[in-house]
Amino acid sequence: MIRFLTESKMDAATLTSLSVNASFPLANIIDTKLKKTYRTTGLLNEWIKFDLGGAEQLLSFCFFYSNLTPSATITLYGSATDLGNTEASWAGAAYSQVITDFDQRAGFLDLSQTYQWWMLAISDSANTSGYIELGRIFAGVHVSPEDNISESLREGLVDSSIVNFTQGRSAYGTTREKFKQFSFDFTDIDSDDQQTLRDLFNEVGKTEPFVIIFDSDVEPVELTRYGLFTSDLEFSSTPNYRANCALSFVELR
Amino acid sequence: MISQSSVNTRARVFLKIELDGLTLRYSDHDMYAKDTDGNYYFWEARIKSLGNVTAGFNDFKEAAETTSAVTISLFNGKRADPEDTLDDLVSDYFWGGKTATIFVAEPTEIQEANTMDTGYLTVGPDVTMGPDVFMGDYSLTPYFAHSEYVLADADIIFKGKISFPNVFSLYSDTELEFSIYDDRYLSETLLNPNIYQTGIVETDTTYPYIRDTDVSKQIPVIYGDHSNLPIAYAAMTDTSENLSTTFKVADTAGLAAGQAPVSYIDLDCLVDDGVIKIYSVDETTATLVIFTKYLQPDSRVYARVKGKTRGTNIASNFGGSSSDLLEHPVEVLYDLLSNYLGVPDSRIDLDSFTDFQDANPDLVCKAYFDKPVSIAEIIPSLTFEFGMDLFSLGEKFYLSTLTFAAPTSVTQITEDDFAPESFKVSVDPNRMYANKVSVLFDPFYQEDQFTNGLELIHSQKRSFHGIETNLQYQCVWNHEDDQIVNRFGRLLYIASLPPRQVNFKGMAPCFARRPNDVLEVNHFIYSSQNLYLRQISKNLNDFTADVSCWDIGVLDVKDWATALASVPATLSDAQNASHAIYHGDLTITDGFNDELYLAYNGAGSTVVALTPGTYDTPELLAAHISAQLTATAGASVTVTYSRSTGKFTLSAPANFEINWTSFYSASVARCNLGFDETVHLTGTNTYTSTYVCPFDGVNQVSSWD
Repeated sequence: MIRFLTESKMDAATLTSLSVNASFPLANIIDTKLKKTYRTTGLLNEWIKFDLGGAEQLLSFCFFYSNLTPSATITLYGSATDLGNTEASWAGAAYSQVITDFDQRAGFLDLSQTYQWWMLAISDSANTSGYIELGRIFAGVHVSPEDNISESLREGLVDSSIVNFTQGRSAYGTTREKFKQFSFDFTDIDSDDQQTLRDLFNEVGKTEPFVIIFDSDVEPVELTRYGLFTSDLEFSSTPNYRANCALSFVELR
Repeated sequence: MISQSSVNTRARVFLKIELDGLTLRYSDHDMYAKDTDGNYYFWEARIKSLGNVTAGFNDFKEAAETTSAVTISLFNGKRADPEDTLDDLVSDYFWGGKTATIFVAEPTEIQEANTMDTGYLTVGPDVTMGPDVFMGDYSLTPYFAHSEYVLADADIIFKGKISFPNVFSLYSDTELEFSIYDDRYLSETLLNPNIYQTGIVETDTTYPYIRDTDVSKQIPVIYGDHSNLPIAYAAMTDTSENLSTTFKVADTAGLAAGQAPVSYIDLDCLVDDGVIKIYSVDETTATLVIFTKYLQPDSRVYARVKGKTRGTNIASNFGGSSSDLLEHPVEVLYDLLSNYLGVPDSRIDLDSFTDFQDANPDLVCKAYFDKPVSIAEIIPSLTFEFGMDLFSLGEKFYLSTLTFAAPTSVTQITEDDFAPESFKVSVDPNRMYANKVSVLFDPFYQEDQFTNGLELIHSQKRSFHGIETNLQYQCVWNHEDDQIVNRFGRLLYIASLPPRQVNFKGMAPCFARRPNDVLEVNHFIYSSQNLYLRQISKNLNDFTADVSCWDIGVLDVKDWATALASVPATLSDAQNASHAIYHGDLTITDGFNDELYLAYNGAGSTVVALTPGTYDTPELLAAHISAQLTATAGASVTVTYSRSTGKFTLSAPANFEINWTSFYSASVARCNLGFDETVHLTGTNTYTSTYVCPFDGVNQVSSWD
């Protein structure tokens, strides 16, 4: 089922961590710019602690842009109280879950927990960088229409590189980032789902970045994207007060 | 450094703006990168567009260096945070006149991404799509690479100052646009801002006894040797009620370390119409003292002076004594950049400056500035009058010149180096064709008040085209005849070609080129042709470059040789008349210079007739003379012309003589080929010209005072 995650509870949290490289401060993990990253000074038992100020529900936990290797161990803990400043002291937390669904572009965890204190613990001994780097953490309560998107999901991988061809038919390229863009449809959705989309679009429009999780059920990390709507919200009516709706989304890098 | 050999580049552009108390760092991509101080900073992706960075010159006929300026456009809109705009920065900080630097850097380290390779998508209520639908194998693509950029290893593409007072050319809720200029064009700094003031206003520089007629006159700044003429006006700066009166000739303000305003004041000065002796001089204060009894109430005093001394910095960078006269144009240029515009040595490519000076050690310049004049105004005249090509590239000023020797290095350009349909050739697009150059002298600097200038004439081209087309100049700094002939003769050579301009859009290998580079091209009408790059405009979006070159011939030794030293100082009228070829004219005139007198292998002297007419090249003339001598001698007499030496050589299997009989007789019309007429050619079978025969447009322009 598709999920739209528009607000991150972590943006208002009080953040602490085991270590931080002063040039890459901890506040960067809640900065909207993915490449404005946070870096640790070590690789083992590193942690970031979030105090949300009160109990808050998290249904989706995502992070974007990291240098984690596949062998990294990432664990999310939740607790009603602050259990201390080591991962070991959080071993008995009310909630803990190892995050396995991740790569260097994104990570995703499906959960349904409500706590004030959260800890994200990471160990990555195989990381040759000597530090752990994280771009953006985005976690909170998503919205989903009752009806999922139709089968007509369209995905493109765009290369924004510039290529110049010469008279002699060779080529020179200025390599730039690739990014994904998606087009998807809601078919024959009822008025409640239409309102859900209206509320969503009113909140983010085409300027506020948010997270789309296209499929929260099965290995969703590939389909967890941070970006913007690029289309306006339009409904085309179908019988019985239902409607079709087409939307486009582009990934931010 | 943009790799010139790579087909692809991951280069990124970085912009640093140094406001008071805040440094802004922007790029075309969000990223962390190491600044030049070795620390990591976040460079925000706010660069919307960058104008091309241009360096070089428009053409040759005037001091027309392309203005070095770059237009920058930044995104102003918010990214996510409503406060995340540039508005606060614009309102809280002053941007005008602040330094901005543009870097281009390739990554020093690239880590390919580690990504998951397949996945599943569930759509609709219960339908599961398999892994082959559209996932692909992402682990093979450099999708989310981490790249390290270090600006200490980057190229500085441009460094300048934000324009002022008109700071922002566009300021909206989405965009902020401004331009940065190199140091020369931002500043209207006056070379000589100080004036003679009477001290009425408390803060004024005080010259209480200054004459009313001198009040508010500029205190002069003097360069070079003016000791041949009393040109330096001496303003009276104390009361004439004393036995002696003090006068001032130059400004002591604005001097570099170790500099004096004048290096010499002659003890003979001009007072009204008479010469009197100065009692004392002080070069460090640029003052002189005259006994009052020699002065009338309104006497006007003029001194013979030599201008500023070199100072410590010039002596350190260029060698020599700091107390010597500052008169070499390269050193004067350095003085203007360093002392008046405040350009530090780190931003002047001193190697290129000293190279130019080493190649032209005897150049001298002089100028007397008693009217307000800005640095931005006089630098172009100085550089143009001495053939110095000054351009800014990156963060530095470079000095180069068109080399008239064979180029030591060339860059080969092929079809793989430029965009399709971009290679275009234009003949004299700026209409600079000329077959005459006139350089007018300001009588102020000349001893001979009746000498009004120099004319340089390409007589061959003038006669061929039948139309005289003249470029006219008046020099501010260059007043030496031989220097002017050398400098403007070369300009005439180029102008008379006429020159062809070649433009093309070059790929990455061209991006690092610079003005006066020599490109060798094989394309279109050219086969291994040298082109002189005069202007390059670099595109920071795709790292291509719009290149403008000039086909001004193979400027090697065979096409140019200074030959003035070999020309006799004076010739009689008759010698002038009969030495048309000697003076560079390839015309044989009936009854004028259409005969030679040959005695071959012991035979008597025989007249050899030459066919009247104008010969296109000295080689053609030599071939004709050879044919006529051969026909007369009955043996092969070879006549050749060497473009590198400018001399004719005659040779034959046996000894022969060329007789110069009946000098100065109008009835004898002999053709001299640069030989000394007082010496008959005899005793051997090969002779070479005594004097150089410089032919217009071949290796010499003729000049007449």
